[in-house]
Amino acid sequence: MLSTNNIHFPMKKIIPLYLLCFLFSWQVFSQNNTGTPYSMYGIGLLQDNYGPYTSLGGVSAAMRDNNNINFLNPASYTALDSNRFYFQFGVTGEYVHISTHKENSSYRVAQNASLNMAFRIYKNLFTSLGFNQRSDIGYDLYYYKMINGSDNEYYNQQISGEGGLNDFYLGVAYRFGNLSLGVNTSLVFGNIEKRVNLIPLISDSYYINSRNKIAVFDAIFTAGIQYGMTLSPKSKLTLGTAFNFSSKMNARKDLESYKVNTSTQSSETLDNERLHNGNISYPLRISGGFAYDYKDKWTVAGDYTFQEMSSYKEFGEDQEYNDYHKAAIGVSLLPARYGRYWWQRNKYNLGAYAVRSQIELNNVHINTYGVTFGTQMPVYISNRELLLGVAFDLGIRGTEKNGLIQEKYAKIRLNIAFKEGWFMKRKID
Amino acid sequence: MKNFSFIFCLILCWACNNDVTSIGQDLLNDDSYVELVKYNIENSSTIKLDSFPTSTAKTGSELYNLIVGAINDPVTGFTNAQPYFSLVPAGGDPINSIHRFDSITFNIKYNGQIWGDTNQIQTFHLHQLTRLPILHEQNDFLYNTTVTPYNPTPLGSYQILPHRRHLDKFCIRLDDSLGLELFDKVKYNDEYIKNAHYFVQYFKGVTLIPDNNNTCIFGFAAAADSISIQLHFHDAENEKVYKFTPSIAYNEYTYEKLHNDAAGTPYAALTKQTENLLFYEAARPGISYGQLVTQGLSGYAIKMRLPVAPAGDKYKTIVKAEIELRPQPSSYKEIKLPETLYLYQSNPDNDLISAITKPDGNAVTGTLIREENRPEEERFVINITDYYNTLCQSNDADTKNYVIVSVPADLMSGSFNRLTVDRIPVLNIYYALYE
Repeated sequence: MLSTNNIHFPMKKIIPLYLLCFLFSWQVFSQNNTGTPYSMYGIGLLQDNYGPYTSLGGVSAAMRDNNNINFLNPASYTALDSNRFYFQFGVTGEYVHISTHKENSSYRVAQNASLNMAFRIYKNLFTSLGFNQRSDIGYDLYYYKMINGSDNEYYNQQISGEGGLNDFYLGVAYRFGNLSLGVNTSLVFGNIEKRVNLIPLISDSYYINSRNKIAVFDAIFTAGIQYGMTLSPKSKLTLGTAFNFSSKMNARKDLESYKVNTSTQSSETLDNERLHNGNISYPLRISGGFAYDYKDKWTVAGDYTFQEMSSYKEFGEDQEYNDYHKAAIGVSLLPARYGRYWWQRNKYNLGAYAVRSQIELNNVHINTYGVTFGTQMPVYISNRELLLGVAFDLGIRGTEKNGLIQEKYAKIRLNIAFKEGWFMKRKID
Repeated sequence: MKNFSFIFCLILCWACNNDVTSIGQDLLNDDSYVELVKYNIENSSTIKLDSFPTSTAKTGSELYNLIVGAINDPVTGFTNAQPYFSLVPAGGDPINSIHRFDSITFNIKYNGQIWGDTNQIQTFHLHQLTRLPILHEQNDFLYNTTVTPYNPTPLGSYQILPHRRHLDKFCIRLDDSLGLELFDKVKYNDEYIKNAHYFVQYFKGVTLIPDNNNTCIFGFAAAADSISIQLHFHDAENEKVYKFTPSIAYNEYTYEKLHNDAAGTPYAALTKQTENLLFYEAARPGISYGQLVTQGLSGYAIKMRLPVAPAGDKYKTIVKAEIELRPQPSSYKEIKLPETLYLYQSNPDNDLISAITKPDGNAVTGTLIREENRPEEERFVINITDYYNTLCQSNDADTKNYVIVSVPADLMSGSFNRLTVDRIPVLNIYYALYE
């Protein structure tokens, strides 16, 4: 028999693994993730589908269980086991075929790393903390263009960017009967760096290097609510929502530019200045949804997410984006939670989502559509449980219309959730 | 656990070294670009330099080419080129009592450069100077306008059909009395022969004068092995020679006297250097819009007042600026284009203040861009990027924007090449907008 009165720390084997995961996620945060040109706008590409329920279309608002840390809705922390320490790590690998009406290419990136921990603090009070990627920027475009006003002279235009916003969050959640309330306090930080190189292909001239860097550092609060209802002895319905109000994040924007003589390589500084010291807005984001569970076997969940990107401003300047909308739906089958065979204990997921992003180019909305599938496989190890989630996400972003880019992507997200019996005391040694 | 770690490693390694360049060009707003803006340099005119150095002064280390002849150029009128040089005993076969004087000649070596009508007989006269040229008191130069008196009676005259095979043997038989005088001085090893300085003071030098009826000018090297007065003598068996040649030690006395008379052309209006003949004022039948000209020997140069680029967007900078001069098609079939053009800082009085240089100290030059099968597109391009950037950042740019385009001043007396422009010069400015 086990009791919770004595705390047992099997740290010896686990700490190196945590360290490894931390290094992995740090590597993903910091590597040069050259990818979609659509990430050049605003704070970068917003995460359409990540978290522990990626294979369910990325639903999150009403999702709660005692295996995954659903950091997208802090109210869900109250579903975790009271006597376990949770550790979760996820990362997505993405292969993208990118095309226009006249050319095509491909790229691969690793992104959306997340590193989360959670445990109960006191009775119905739970907490979680961790790192997540909030947006991602990574592009490197190199164009050969004719000099405006000339009929036979050209220049190379290299436009690149990297960075994005990350957050370190600390969340708490409290359960009042069927109602759970939670809040994440996120320290949002990151650099958005955009570079422009202009290289005239004419002799004895200058080329231009310009680097524009926005550094962001501020706190955002995300609240979550979940309410569970037992509809019948065999069915449960959970409703949930998570939202953050519009907030202004402290930011500064610096510009460095210089020109270099193509013959002598001597350089001359053009600008080295702080353009702005103000804020960029992180607009209202709200997601709401349901999760219906039948016989502890079938789960159907749906989500709608809205972000008021039309009010997004950088240093007071309206960026003229559209609002962000996402709808997702997912269904999962767990043949038998305590089945005899390994395949019976796996959860099989299927989902789909559609996104109307904030970007509109050449009068065309940049939309994303994806289907997802995957599994969550429980692995039992001595005094700990591990849930290995593998999610596949196949989708299309953008269009080839009006000279734009279409990206057909295939993503694989690995999500590992551990739970350890840290807070259990052996009753009989 | 090792297996999971391996899978994560695979994902990370998989996501590297992407190349998504050159795709989606239409995706970008054109808020950073390079553009070319062309400004016509309306304030362009031809000027005529009153005087310019044609010697290398005392500090000159090298003798250069000399030009002789007279020519009537349909564009710039009549030009006469008259070289002056001093000679010193250079040695040769020794002369003693058994030798007999034969003759004295003046010889030059043609350097292959010739301009004008070469089918007419040309006449030249060699005169002895009556005094040494007087150097400019401040800089020791001799100028195209420097007058040095000479004996009106020529030492010798020469007529030649200026074809290469004849020019290669350019030789004037001189007065025997001079020959005997020099022959005796050498024979008795006179003090004038032993000491070059004494000889220069005694002999003074010579000038080669073309007839005004001549129709061409040609060049010859001013080196010691190209110009000589030769004493020809013999003994019982052999013909022998003793030479007097230019010496680098007296280089400062070698110069070119030049005269241009533009009567009958629009440039006759230019009587002093401060005057300008605007591009449009040189229009005439066959030259619809106007004309500019720069040429060696005759002293013409092109003066321009550059438009100053207006202060534009903050994040806009000049990445290149160049002056473009388009030669008049067919104007260089008979008189070649200059190989190089120089750019000089000037002022409202058309003074040639100084050569404009690049940051590395080398002169800003213009070179001819040739276009195969498209002669109308051939052009001289002078890259003035650094100069122009500096000019535009100057507070008084509007008073410092005078420049002169000319054949290099130090080659003004060494070539008759000409650039004739019949389209208004253009200032090409390449801007980069980067933010």
